[in-house]
Amino acid sequence: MNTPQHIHIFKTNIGTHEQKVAVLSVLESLAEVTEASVDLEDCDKVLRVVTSAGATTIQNLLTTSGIVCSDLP
Amino acid sequence: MNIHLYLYPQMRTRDENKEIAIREKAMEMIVSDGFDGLSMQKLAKAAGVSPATIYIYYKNREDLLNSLYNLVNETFAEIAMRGFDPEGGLEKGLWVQWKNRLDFIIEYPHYFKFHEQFRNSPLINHKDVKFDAFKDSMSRFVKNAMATGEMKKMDPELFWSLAYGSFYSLLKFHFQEKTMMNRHYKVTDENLKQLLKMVIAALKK
Repeated sequence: MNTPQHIHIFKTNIGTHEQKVAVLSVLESLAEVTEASVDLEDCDKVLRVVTSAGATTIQNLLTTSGIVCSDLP
Repeated sequence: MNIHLYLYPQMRTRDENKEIAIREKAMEMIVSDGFDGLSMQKLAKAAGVSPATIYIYYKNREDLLNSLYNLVNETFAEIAMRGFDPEGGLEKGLWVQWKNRLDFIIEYPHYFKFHEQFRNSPLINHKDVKFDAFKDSMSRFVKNAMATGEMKKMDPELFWSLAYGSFYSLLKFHFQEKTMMNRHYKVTDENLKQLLKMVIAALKK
C-alpha cells in the first residue's frame, strides 16, 4: 500500500454483535479501508480503523448507518 | 527531526517508549491479576497513556495477549540461542541450553511466569513464524545427537522430559520457599552439573 495509512480510534454506541458485523462489513467494503475492528468488551465500544481516509469521512459514514461515534479521549 | 536522530542514535521516538511501557505494564498486570482482570482502560491508567493510545497498537485484549506471547517466545528464543551450536555435541549443547534458560528466567521472571500461564490457553493463536527458527535448531540438535550415537532414539516428548523436564523441576525447587524435604534449595553450577551428568547417562545408547 503506497497511500499513507492512519489509525483512527473512535468511541461508539455499537451495542450488539449484529451491529458490529454490520458496521465492519460497511467499512471493509471500502477500498480505502485496510482493516477495521470493534472491541465490544470495552465500555467505550471502541472502533479501530486502519485507512487512508480521514477521520471525518469514517465518522460521517457511520453516522449515516445510524451509529454515533466520537473521538476516544 | 533527521538531524535529531543522527545526533542521538540511541534516542527512541516518543511512541516507542509508550509502546514499551504499555507492553511491560500489560505483562505485569496479566501475571498478577490474570487475563480476566485486565481491561484496556485499567492498562491505560497504569501505563500513563490514554485508552486511544493502547488501541493504536492493539485491536483488543486478545490481540494484546497474543502479541505479548509472541514477544516472550522471541525473547526466549534469542536468549536460548546465545552461544548454542546444534552440531557441537549433546552434553555441551544441553549445558548451554540449561544455562541460557536459567538466564532467561532470571532476566525476565515475569516473561517466564506469563509463558507458564498461557502456553496451554485457548486464547493463544500459535502462529508465530519467528519461533520456527528456534524449533528448527532444537530439532537439528536432537537429530545430530542421535546420528553421532550420543543418544538413543526416542520420542521427542520423552527426550524433553529427560533433557529439560528434569532441569525445570530442579529450578522449581529454587523458586519455592520449601521443597518436599521441608528446606530451601538453591540451584548452583555444581548441582546443575551433577544433574546434567545423570541426564546424559540416561540418554546414552
